[in-house]
Amino acid sequence: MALCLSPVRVERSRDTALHLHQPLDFARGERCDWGVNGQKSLSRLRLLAMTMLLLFPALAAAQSVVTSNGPDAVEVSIYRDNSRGDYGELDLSYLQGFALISETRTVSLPSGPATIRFEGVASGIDPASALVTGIGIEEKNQDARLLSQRGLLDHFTGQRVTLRRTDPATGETTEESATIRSGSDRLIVQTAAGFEAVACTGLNQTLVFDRAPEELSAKPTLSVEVGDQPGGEYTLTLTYLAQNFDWQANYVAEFNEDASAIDLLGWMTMASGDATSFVNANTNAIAGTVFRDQDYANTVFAEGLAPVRYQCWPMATTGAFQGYNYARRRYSLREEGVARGALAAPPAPMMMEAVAADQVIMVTGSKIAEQEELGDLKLYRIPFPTTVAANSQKQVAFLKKSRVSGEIIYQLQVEERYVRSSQPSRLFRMQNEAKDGLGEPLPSGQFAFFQQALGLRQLVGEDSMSDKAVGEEIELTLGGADNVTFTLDATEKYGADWNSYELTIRNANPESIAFETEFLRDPDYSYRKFSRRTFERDGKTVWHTIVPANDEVTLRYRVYDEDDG
Amino acid sequence: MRFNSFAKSAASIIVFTTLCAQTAPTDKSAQGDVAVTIYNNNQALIRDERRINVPAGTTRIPFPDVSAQIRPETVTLNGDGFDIVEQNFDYDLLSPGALMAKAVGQTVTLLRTNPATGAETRERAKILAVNGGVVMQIGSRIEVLRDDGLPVRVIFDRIPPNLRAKPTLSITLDSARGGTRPLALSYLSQGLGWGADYVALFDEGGNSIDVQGWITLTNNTGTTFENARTLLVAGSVGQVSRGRGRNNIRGNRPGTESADRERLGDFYIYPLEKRTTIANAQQKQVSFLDIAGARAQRGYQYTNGWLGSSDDARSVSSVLKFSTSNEGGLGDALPAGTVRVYQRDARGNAQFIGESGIGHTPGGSELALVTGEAFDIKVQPVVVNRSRIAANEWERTARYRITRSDGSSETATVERQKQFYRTEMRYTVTNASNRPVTVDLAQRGLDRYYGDTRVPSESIVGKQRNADTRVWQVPVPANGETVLTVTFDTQY
Repeated sequence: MALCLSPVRVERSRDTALHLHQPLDFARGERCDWGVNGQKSLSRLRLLAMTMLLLFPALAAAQSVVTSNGPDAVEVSIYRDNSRGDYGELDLSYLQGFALISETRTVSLPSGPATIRFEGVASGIDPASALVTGIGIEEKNQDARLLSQRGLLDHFTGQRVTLRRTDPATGETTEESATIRSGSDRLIVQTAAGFEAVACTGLNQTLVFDRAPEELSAKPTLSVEVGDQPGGEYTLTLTYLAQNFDWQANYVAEFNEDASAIDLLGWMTMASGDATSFVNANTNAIAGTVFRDQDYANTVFAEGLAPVRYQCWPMATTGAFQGYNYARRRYSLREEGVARGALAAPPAPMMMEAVAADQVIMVTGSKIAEQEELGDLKLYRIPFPTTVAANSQKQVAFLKKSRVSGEIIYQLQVEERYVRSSQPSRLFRMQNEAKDGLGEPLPSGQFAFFQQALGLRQLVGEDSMSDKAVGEEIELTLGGADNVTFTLDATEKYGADWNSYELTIRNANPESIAFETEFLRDPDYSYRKFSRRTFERDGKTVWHTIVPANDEVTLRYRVYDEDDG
Repeated sequence: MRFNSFAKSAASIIVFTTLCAQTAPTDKSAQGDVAVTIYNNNQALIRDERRINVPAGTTRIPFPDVSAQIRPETVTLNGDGFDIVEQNFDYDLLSPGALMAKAVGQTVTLLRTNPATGAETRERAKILAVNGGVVMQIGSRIEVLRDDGLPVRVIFDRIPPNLRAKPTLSITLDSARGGTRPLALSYLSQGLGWGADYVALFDEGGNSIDVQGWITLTNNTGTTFENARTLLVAGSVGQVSRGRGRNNIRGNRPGTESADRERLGDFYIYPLEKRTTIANAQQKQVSFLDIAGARAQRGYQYTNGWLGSSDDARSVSSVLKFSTSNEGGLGDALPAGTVRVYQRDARGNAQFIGESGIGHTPGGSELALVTGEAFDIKVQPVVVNRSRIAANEWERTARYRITRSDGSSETATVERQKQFYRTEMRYTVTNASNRPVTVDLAQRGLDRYYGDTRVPSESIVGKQRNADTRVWQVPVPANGETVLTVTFDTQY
């Protein structure tokens, strides 16, 4: 730590404003950067250091800090965003699912207590969920004080830094010592001459720091404290949940010629919006509904993310009255305030990474993901290691079935004497049974139906489906029907408490069709005297009929009023 | 004329030697022996005992490095041999604007740099006013600072004493004697919080769970607390919880066993074993519970709303049940937090299967946590039929007495036949998994002021949980289905 020891003049540096050459895994008590004149005050330092050790015995035990840079092996299980519903599509810029990431890491520890820092974890890590196995740990810490312009200024408040000015005419630089006297946005430094607001001068100046403080890290960093141990190589498993992942299923169904069966291909699209890539990961997708309990009350907020906006005293000028002068005022504000001549901001590494990573779409469809049971969920395992790249999505097949039998049905819903739609809908209905060629759990997702026409593959319908277990009936709407029409009219027959109706279905197709009418029930009336056979399904009265090619079928029924009580 | 570099550094050496003497420990915290007690409602009590030299007489003592989210009205100071004159919490912050405003009437140094030659000129200026721009008097002329947009360094001779880098607490003392003594500062602060995070590894075959508990504390105060003795109180002091109720989930029952933990009034206290540094912008987790092989089992629940009917089968809730009792349970009280449940996949890797929040849970409690929904186990509720029926019952709606002019009287009663709705429900419970399950199925909405709800028939005998809810335990074979039919007669 920089103890203020002597009037040390900080070494000149022309390369960079930040000195990052110092290793971070240094014991805390040993960190003291002296300048060229440091030796003179050595005895004073010793005295101070001794006093500090007496006051803070914790500093005496040299706690070694070991950094684990990345995993040796990693497994990524991606969970769906259930709130997206069955219809929603993946939005790569707004992924609301999450992932369970399990990393195997090897660390080499010296004996004694140690701190292990984990780098290269997912940027969306939920630190409270982190688990470390393979070594006994005493404490887990997530530090979110970031190395940034603001972080540096706040950290060095009250301390000495170097103020460097560049002469715009000659390019010559001069440096002098300065002490930061105020918070970052309100920057005031003390120099030999007095107190100055350096950001308000309009000069080309920057602050130079002698080191990057070890408490500030490039990204929020997870670390664990391990107790006294013999040292050596440890294989650790670090498991955590991370946000900003998602996946979804897409189904492609190809009709056969008479639309009595489909060939079905299921794809899963897995997406990562994280800044970290996981190379050669064992990758899984989890289907089913998993509840999360988001509690933001106990989260830590990263410090130092906001860029510094230097405040100045009022800067109005006598020329600042109207029109074009406004532009001049803006220009001068910009010049003085933040941009030119202001303190140089360090680059933002995360932003650069995000820009560099392409949104690659990988299609690795030659092998099919294997499904296994996971409690009440379904786990799909990609059978080969694959890279879950930063800001990318990939697609893998998980289901391939041919000749799944089903049938096309035209459907209408009737409520007393009203039809709920202006045209019948056209559905494809199949049973999720092995005997029909299917019989697999089907995660929710979108279906696209295709059929050959004129030698070309054509889209004939799109719909979405919720999770379907084995044995369930699956009904997907292809669209409306134009060649199948209906009329529903009241007839002239009626009684004291009844009316009679006539429903006619006409088929203009050159083949016969299956047609279903669902009558919705209500306690205020009842349907009676259907002229054809009906049955009950899902609390509705259903009339199922075959309408021959280029023909029509008529049903008569009565509605009795029951609201007499 | 420019200063040459040597002369300049010599000057800075002299100045900084004196400065250092005053502000030597700037990088080190001024905190003393710190004890922090953190409550659940974003509230913490901080006790900070510092050794301070208090001279005799009236002195203003600054207390740097207190929490930036201090509640200054809660500050108390304990020590020997002094009276407190006043307490101040100054948040008049040092900024260029404040510095300039306070410099009105005073003289500053202007250092102008010629942009072409780099030559510096120096002159003294008196600040006359700060209104939109800074108006100065230089010799006999009046100027507006940087009106021409050219660079100017403004050098102030000093900083007014009450402008501070950070909000600062100071206390004025009247001390009878001089000398160094311990001063114990105590205050409440916001920005410190804690909760529990539980990791539960569920072994479905063995019907057991291993549970690890972590205390998670976060510091967003803006201040680091060095080497602090830390206590966590499982409670929201001074606040009656309106927290998460879980009435819809069946199987939660608070227990009556006491845990073997320290207590404060009605709250449990969790002291951290070692002193620890709670850094600013840090989330820290410390283990406090590690239990292997507690009994646990999976259950399934579904709750249907009144007249709930669906064309599709709906997945039932998957519920993890365990207890905090000493007998086969976790044997401890659980502070409020989040339980994350894991289960091993076919390769033996732990996979996440869901999480649930819990409130403060006493020992001996039964817990039922919904972790998600079962893919393979579903219920399709259907209103098969709903019709009006007239029961063979009459209810009296009015009664009155008629007195005639001859003095005779007659009592009349008006009765109305009771009107019921008969609702036939069919719940189809399907199980596509290869193990038999029992689904706890509930129908709600049976009590709507009217009361008098009857169940004339049901295919499985149900149990009335309360006036509003009836529950059936529906056994479903592996890869099979069970149909429950129930008829309700209600007055609505």
